[in-house]
Amino acid sequence: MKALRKKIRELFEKGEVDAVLGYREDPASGEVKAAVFKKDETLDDMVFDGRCIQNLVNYLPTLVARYRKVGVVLKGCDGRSLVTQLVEHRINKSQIIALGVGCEGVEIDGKEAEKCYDCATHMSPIADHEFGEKGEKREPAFAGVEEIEKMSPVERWKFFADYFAKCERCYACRQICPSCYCEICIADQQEPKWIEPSAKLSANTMWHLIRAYHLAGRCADCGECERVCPQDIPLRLLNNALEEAVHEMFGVRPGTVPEEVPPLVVLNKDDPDRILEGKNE
Amino acid sequence: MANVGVFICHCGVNIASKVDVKRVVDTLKRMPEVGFAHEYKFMCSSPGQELIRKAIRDSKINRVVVAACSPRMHLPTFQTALATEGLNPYLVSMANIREQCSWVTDDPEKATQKAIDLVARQIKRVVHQDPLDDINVPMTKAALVIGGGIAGIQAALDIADGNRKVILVEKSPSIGGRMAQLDETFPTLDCSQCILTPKMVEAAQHPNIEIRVNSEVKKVDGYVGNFEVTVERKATYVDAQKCIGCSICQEKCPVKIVPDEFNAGLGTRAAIAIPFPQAVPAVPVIDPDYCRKLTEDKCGVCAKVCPAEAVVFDDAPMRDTINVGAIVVATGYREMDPGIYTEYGGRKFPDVITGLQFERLVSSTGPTGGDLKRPSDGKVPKTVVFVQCVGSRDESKAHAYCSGICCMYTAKHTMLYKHHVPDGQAYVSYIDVRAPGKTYEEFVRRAIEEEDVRYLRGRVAKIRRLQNGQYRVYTEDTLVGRAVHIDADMVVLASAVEPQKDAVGLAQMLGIAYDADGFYTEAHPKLKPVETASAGVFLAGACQGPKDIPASVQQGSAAASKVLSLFAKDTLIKSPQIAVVDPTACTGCLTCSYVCHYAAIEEKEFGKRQVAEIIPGKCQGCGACVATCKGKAITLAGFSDDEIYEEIVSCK
Repeated sequence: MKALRKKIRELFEKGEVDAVLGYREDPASGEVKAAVFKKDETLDDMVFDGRCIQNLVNYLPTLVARYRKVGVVLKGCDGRSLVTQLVEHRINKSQIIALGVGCEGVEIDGKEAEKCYDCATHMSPIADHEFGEKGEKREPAFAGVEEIEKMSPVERWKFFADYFAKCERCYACRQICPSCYCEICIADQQEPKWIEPSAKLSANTMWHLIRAYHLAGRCADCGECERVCPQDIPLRLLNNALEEAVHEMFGVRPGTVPEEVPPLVVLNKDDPDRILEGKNE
Repeated sequence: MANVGVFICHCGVNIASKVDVKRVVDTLKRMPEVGFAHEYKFMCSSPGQELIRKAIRDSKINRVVVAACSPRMHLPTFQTALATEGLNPYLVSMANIREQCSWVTDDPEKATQKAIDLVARQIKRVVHQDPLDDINVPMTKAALVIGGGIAGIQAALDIADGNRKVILVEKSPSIGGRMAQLDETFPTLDCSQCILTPKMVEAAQHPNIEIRVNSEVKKVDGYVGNFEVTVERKATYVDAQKCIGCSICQEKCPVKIVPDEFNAGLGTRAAIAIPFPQAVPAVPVIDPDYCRKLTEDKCGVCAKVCPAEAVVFDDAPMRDTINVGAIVVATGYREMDPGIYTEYGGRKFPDVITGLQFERLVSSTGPTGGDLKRPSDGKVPKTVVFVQCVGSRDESKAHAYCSGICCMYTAKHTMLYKHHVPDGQAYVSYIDVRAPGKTYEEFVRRAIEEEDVRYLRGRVAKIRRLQNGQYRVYTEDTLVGRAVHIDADMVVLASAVEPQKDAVGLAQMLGIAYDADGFYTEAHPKLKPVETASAGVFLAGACQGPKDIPASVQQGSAAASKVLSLFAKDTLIKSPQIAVVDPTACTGCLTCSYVCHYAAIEEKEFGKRQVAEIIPGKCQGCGACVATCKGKAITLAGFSDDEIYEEIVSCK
């Protein structure tokens, strides 16, 4: 933390950043929230610990429009998120100083967040400066996915239908997701109306499946959608299942390798062709 | 307000025998969008088209649905009918009630119901169709011909005679191709060089043709009318501008051990050489793998004797970009290496040679100066066996296809042999004799009847070298049903015609299709024999499949006529059915640019943001970007969401 603060001060002094996006502890409530630090502000209340669960990358597109150069504190999963955003030309790397901090896991209500069990990298895959323990890269186990894959199709459908039926269509999952940035969301389109806006099972299912498919090969598993869902729908299960499928076919995990173009939008000669080979289930 | 005219075609009995056409008309008449509905026996006929035109004039219809065959057949016909009446041609839609209905539905009741559904859907769709205007794209009226064989030369000459510039790119040091290697040609036995060299010279002297030998295409960008092609000239170490073609360098060069490619590997040549006496251009090339100056920095004799000071040892490859509007691919073929036929001793036994090597052995410009001597000991071969279908029609070992030319050239070889060795005996082992061309069959009969060539029907099993230097050819005569063997002094293998080694790489560069063997695929096997799937790229000669000289010349001329008719227009008219970006909905993620096969998507500034922009000239309307755009910011004109959606939701 000391080193991080020192580096940020140095960056400010050299004029290499105009603002730094990090986490601040509210001295009154003790809550930790995303915050923008500017040159002459104190860094004393900047923190980095298990309470820093928010994915800061979500704020970057707004900040780079306002500031010439932005520093950003990144956990491993947030770093993956940043990579996906750079590849999709959402943000220009020249405007970003990535401050990767070795993450030892974050908490929800005092308990280690579930996504941390499936953490692929503790350190951001893209970092101009690294702080703390780098840790080792791992292959996520996705125990949850394994469990639902054991279910019969009928059981699995019931499992998800029970959750989808509860969806309020508040679109918090969409708003929090860095990769959900369409100018006009398919759920909001009126002509033609692809998804009915009312919160009922068929339309809700449509919404969640479209979202999952749009994120296939792009979702960096920051887990924010699941965290903010007021109905506790296990949204990561959908994203993780697709991440696994893409990994199995193309050997790629979104965001883990800087500048890697998502495999579903490029055609390579040695891509597997399971559909043509008739090997799809 | 949309006022749709609906026209149902009987297609003779093709549709009317299954579909109750009258009922279709009566049902659809009741749809609120329909202002006019009619049936007719043949909508594509002139009276049929007149029906549409009259309805536009009299019933004031402003959208048209024709229910007939596939739009691939007759959509342009009906579009023209609309255009003649001043209606935008993109306001017509076709329902395919033939291939997709009457031909595939047994029950007339079901067929009629299906026809009603199919047409109703198009009525719903056509209401949402927007008028579109054709796109005019400027073009470069110059052509690139890849390959300087007879097909490429013919294409280049025809295009150049049509008063258009041609750049003829050839990778070897001279144009002429395979035909330059041949001695005489079937079925007239005229000398190959004598009929080819006038064309080579004409190409070289033509003011509209620029020949680039020792050059290869490295990159192809752009699209029909506006290709940007990167061509690389290899280092030749001889300044073609200064060289006077005296060939003194070739005589004085001490390194005379270079295998002679022009002689199909028979004999050797110098490290600096003009490939053959009539080469165009007659400029030698140094082989950097053998030249002592370039390998060991010794010698340099060629530079010393050159009267024109044309030898430059510090030559390097050179790349430049040329702009052309059309490309003719005429890269030809290569002869299969018979080495895989170990039972024939191909490449192992010195006197078991290929057809092309035989051509060189009897040619006056060949390694023996035209005397037929066998390679091993220079003896005149008194018995020769010609083996057909080596690598052709033999799926188990090489290729399933027939190489097409070998039956004829083997008949020619036997005659050439008899002319060189009148007391010799020629045998031919064949499966079938395929001689379908004009006067071809007569030619083969001439070999059999006048030259006493013995044709044995059967496949050769094995060739063994004997102690006395002869070769025992084990074969069979299936017509009498017995195994035979012949002791021969020389064996000639009619080795298969194969695509060039780098054929697939070039196809991928050009974006044209190729078959499992590597031959380039034409756009339609019957009706578009020289076109490819890529607009503006045409095929000529054996790169598209095994071909003899007449067929290659025909294709060369055919490709040239395609190029000239393309260039006859002032601008290129392109279908307006291309992708269009709505910049207000575009997030600028540029995922579309990754999936675009035609490099048609670029970045552009829109307000403070970067968004995608489609280059109309490049877009081919494939729709890949439309499908990949999650924000639905891209629309394919003529296939908008509205149109498709209406079509789908009207399904019952």
